[in-house]
Amino acid sequence: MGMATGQAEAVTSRGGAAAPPALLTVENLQTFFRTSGGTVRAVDGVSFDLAAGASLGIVGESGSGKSVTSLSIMRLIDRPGFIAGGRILFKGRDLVELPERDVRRIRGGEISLVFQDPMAALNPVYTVGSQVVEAILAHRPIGRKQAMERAIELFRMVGIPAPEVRVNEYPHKLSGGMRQRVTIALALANEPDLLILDEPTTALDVTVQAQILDLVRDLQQRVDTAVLLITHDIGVVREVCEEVIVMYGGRVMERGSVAKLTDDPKHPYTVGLLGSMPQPGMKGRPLQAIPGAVPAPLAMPQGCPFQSRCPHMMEVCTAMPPLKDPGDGRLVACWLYEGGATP
Amino acid sequence: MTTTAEPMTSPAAREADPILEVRNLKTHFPVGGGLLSGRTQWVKAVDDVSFSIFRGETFGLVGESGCGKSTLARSIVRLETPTAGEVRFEGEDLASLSRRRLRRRRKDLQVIFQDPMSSLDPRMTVRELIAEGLDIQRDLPRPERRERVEWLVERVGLRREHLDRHPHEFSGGQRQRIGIARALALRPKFILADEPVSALDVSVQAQVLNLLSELQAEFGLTYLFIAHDLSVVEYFSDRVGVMYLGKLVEVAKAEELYADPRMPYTKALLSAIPGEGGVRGRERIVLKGEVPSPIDPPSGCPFRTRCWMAQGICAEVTPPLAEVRPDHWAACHFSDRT
Ligand SMILES: Nc1ncnc2c1ncn2[C@@H]1O[C@H](COP(=O)(O)OP(=O)(O)OP(=O)(O)O)[C@@H](O)[C@H]1O
Ligand SMILES: Nc1ncnc2c1ncn2[C@@H]1O[C@H](COP(=O)(O)OP(=O)(O)OP(=O)(O)O)[C@@H](O)[C@H]1O
Ligand SMILES: [Mg+2]
Ligand SMILES: [Mg+2]
Repeated sequence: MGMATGQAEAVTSRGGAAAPPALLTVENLQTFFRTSGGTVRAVDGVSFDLAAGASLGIVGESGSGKSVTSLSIMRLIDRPGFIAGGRILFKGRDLVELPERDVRRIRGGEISLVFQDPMAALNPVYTVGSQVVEAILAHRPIGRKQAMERAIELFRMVGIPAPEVRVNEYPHKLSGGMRQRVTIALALANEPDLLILDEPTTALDVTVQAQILDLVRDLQQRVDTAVLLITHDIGVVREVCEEVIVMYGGRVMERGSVAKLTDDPKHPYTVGLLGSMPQPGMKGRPLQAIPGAVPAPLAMPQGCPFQSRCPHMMEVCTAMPPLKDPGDGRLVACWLYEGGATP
Repeated sequence: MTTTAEPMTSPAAREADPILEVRNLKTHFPVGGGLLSGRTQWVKAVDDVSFSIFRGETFGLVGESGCGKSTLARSIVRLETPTAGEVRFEGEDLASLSRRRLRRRRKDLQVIFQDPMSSLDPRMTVRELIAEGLDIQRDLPRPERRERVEWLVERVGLRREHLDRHPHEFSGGQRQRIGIARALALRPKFILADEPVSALDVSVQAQVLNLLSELQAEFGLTYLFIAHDLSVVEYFSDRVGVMYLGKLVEVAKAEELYADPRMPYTKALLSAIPGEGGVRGRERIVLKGEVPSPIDPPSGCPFRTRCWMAQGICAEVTPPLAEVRPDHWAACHFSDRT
């Protein structure tokens, strides 16, 4: 199918002769959910890659498949969900095929995930320090005392004041921002090669969000971990990431450098998303809102999921366009850039 | 001790027509004190706030979670009973009105909430939801009521066939449109919109903001607008007030506030807007520590415990909200420092 080959081009998106080998390559991932009303194609042919130490953002509206993508990478999709197709190559091994035993070793070790709600990741009945210690001991043959020293070191690294005191606190005693720092410390406990952050700051106040984003950017440079940052806020991506993927309806609409996508968006959805966000100097003028709403998961149209809201909708849009480079090093999945028409 | 100055006394403000005047408003909530001590403690959710809202403007309110935005707004429309102070609506002190007068007045002040789902009765149809307020208004004959409901549902961008459906059959954005139609039904003069777009996707948020702007122009509405997205507040508001720990610490025209904040907390807050580094080249100010408890706020300036400019006086004297430039009010002893 043309669709498959097109999406697979994303693999080579970093281009250039000196491109480092990808740490993570997601190839045509399909993750579906069986529901009483039918099969929800939550992620439907998503492809991207991420080099070691690089940072990639994923933006898109609610329900576009961002979290399901990250959960698929962590192999945390449970029934009624299942990975229906595609590959997730991590250091050359396909996580989709890996036995659960091996996946468990990778999870929280080489790959770790930080969620929006820190309370969901923390156990209320143990001190935050002991939770980090357990995470370390699960992956390393060291003693408890040594592990605690490392936990204190991690707390210091993520900017928790008086770490040797704070390790003995219970999660509910900490503020939202401190808790999120603890979960980041927890995620970093085993020096992961890939850190996935799913809306890590959505529940936090802007000043706390700024602290956490500064921390992530700083860590990424110092620890050299690759970061996959999921958010619905392109401003958050701008703070941390070099590149960004725009998802809609379980598919990748556009991918490229953050500067390129925000200064000169190509996909009509990316254009609409940016037009919907107030910019300084826009005062008094209406926002360029996208009409309508995302179709219900079971009512997704054949072909491009954005067609029903797209101002450039054409007949050909009932087939999914491949992700292609329009000639400037990015990737766009839109027939407008397939030589069919000009925008 | 200095008393809090009132933004309404500025010459320009006197020219403008205040629809709402808030004076020394306090709303304190009792919280369970120590059982044995029997001492009640108080959360000073709103603590001595004074400002005015002018007819036809959008007054934006920002500040971090728990700083008292909703309580202030709810006290203004009397969903909350203030502990002290005055709220004058078109010159009338709302607290002094008889129950009947207050009920009549209330239709002029309507509210749009963040989560329309929790404020819309799931058993009612859209028609019933929009008409609910009208039913209280006995003087409107039935056919006209019906007509107004049909006109409203279309005006907010829904269709007539939606009238017989229930809220759960709608998307978040559509539910917010129902909430807006409901608020508009009684032809209010003033609308409190408490995080009306926070639960919506960006693309739908833009639709709702556009709708609110159109309606404001069409009906000459005055908005008190609360949102946690600072870029949205800048775009949507004429003037903006910043709250910290129950106090209003800065008020100015949106453009001026965002370009040249005078209160250190505002500076820190605005510097935290994500993705702004490139756009405005603002230097990030990282705040130390955490917001103090509203039960036991610091003496003097509420922000002094985290302020990099704090001096001895800040612990002793609460800085009044003073006019530091024409129409620009800030509560800081050092507001003239850059
Ligand atoms: N357990 C499940 N059963 C059925 N459908 C599911 C399940 N989990 C997710 N989905 C569907 O998968 C789609 C993608 O969901 P996902 O959580 O990935 O969205 P998202 O992009 O992370 O959105 P948000 O911004 O709201 O977090 C949605 O349509 C959702 O309804
Ligand atoms: N009914 C109540 N009883 C006791 N305390 C209350 C009550 N309502 C609010 N508070 C407290 O008053 C303070 C201000 O709360 P408020 O909801 O007004 O803040 P906010 O600025 O609207 O926050 P958010 O951005 O999270 O909506 C908080 O400390 C809150 O816990
Ligand atoms: Mg999600
Ligand atoms: Mg609130």
